[in-house]
Amino acid sequence: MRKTIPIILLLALLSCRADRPKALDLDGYPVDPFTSDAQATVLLFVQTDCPISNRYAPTIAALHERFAPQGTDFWLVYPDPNETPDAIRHHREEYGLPGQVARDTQHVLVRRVGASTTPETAVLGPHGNVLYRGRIDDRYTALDKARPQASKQDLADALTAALAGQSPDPSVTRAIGCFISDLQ
Amino acid sequence: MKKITVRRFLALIAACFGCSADEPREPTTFNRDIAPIVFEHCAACHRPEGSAPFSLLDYVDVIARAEQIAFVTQTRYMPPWKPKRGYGHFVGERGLTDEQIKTIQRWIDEGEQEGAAADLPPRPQWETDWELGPPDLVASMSVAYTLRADGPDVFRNFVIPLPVDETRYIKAIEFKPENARIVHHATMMVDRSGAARRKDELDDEPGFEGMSFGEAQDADGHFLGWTQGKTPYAGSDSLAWRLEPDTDLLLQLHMLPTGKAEPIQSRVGLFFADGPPKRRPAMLRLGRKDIDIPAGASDYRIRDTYKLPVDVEVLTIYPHAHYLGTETKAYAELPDGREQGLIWIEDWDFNWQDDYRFQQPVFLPAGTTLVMEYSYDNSAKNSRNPHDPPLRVRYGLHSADEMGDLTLQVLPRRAADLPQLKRDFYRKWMLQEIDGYKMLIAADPADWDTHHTLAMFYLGSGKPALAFTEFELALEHNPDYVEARVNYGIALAQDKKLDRAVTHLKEALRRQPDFVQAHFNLGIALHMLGRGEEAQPHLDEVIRQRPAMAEGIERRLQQLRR
Repeated sequence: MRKTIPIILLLALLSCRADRPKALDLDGYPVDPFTSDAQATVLLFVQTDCPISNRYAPTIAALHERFAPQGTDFWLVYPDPNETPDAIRHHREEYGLPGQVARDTQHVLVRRVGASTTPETAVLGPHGNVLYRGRIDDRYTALDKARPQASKQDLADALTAALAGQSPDPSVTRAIGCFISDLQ
Repeated sequence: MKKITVRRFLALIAACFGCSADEPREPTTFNRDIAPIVFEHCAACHRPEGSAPFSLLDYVDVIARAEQIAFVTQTRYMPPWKPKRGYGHFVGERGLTDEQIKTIQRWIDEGEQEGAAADLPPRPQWETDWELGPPDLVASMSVAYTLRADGPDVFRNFVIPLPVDETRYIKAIEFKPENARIVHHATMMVDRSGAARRKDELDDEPGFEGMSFGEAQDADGHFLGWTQGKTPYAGSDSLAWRLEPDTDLLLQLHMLPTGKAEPIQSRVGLFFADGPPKRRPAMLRLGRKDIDIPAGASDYRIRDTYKLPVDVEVLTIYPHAHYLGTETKAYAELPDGREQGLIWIEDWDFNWQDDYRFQQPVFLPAGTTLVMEYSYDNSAKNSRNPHDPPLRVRYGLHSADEMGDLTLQVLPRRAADLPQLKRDFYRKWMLQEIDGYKMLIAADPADWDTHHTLAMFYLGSGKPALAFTEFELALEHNPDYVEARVNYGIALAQDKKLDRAVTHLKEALRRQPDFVQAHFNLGIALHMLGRGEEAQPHLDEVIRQRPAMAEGIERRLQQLRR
């Protein structure tokens, strides 16, 4: 039973692939965080071997613990097409990363929000409108320059605003980390 | 085989147009143009067993990071190498030429082609175990330490016993972090006192926090350090260091949390020399301990100098500052007026500090002045600033304090000059220490222990009047500090102020009646005053407590009689 459904869905997916590529979950089902009806939805772009996005794992877990109960959907978006579902499962377990997974192998989400880096984050409103895109906080100011502690909690501030129905300010910041490579 | 994307197709067309004129050039390929650069300059660290985060070993690895590689090479963040090129020539210099950096960008612009398989050079092979071969002795942290997942950098010291049954001479040491990705750098000192071991035993956790080495010392004038990507130094028999039985290695690790809990249990391999070394180097440490940087100061500078009394060769150099440091520069003013560059780091990064070994020892004749000039930024613009908002920062060993040291490992041209160099340098060093302790007292005027230490340094540099003031202050803040009282008594006696000496020594005994040093020095002082009868019970008490001191007392009294 469990085997047949993905195959059928995969066939369905292949048939419509030409007109609209989608992000996938770890079992190969298409997923679309933009259709979430949550008050706020967070996309967190990460890579299994990016040291900077990995260093943020405890921060991501703490944000999840704080904002998920307030009605925020959390998505971990893996934009590197070379990262297999097994590698991602292992990565999530190793770093204790919460949230649902979207393998963005065709960069549908990358393009839709304009992400270029891991870690980078986007906050979506209830209608799928992008309210914030950029860094989680201002800990890194360059690849080789990090503050001992962040002085601005940009993602937490954006989520607080989004949950209150307000527009985050700033709505765009520059994320520092590993580049999301263009698809070959 | 990869699909031809639109971008690549356009790039190919562009490449063809570009090459149509006078200089026919084949497109840049990974196999012919990029692999040699990556294999030589990146892959030693960027491989599965390496200290860097991801592998750069083949075409797929490299195209997945191509834009990032172009960026970090153009900004010269990678390969990491801080000293300014040409201002000192060092072993293990890393870096790409401008041409190599352009080649990487051109390869991307031309569509990141793989090229012909026949062009691919063989992938380099790396030692999987000890790079210097099988060690004569391997020692490791006795238990693994677990680095927490989150938070700021951790500086932690681990005690590694070095079990030898007789005196050995060590020509090389190879450090294996065993979890290289969390260790940014490691410094090793030698502890012959057991103090580090006792400190480690104070709690159940392996090791202890901090950046101070306590009683541990450098290994007979040798740096023992490791940074990511550093090749271990094979050393030589003629410059080995002495390892006595019952010595510990104190390993200080600067670790960066990675996002998950990380176990670490590092090892060291030691390589024995045939016998005692023929020559011994000295460590000369320039620097300022009176660093006091106002909050917000963006260009605070320090300078220190030392004039060499003998001819030396500089083997290694180690600049050190913390997070506010922005530039570290050292040079030598030769007696003929010429200036000889030693090291210049224009964009100081605490995380990439290292000891740098000159490719050829730098000869500096007697009369040369060593100069160090460092700059600091304690404004909010310095993102590494540990304080937000900025605070006044003074000299200190914690990472949120600041330091400005330059250590040079030098070898006197004539081995017989070593004691003269050490004596001369000691005088300069002591003045530096005095500055530092004055700063500490300025920060905490009631610190009786520091008043006492400063008093001892004043005595050592021949300034008894200043020492007496500091003794008085130490005793004012802690009248029960009998060690300070006895040292004060000894200092007064040496300055022929015997009555005051006797007063303090008696006061010490009133507070601690069995204090043997007080009995001894009081006995001697009373003898000097010609009050032998009064002195005798105190000297008897010394001998009762420490029979072995009887001979010493007798010798001292004979001196006095003469």
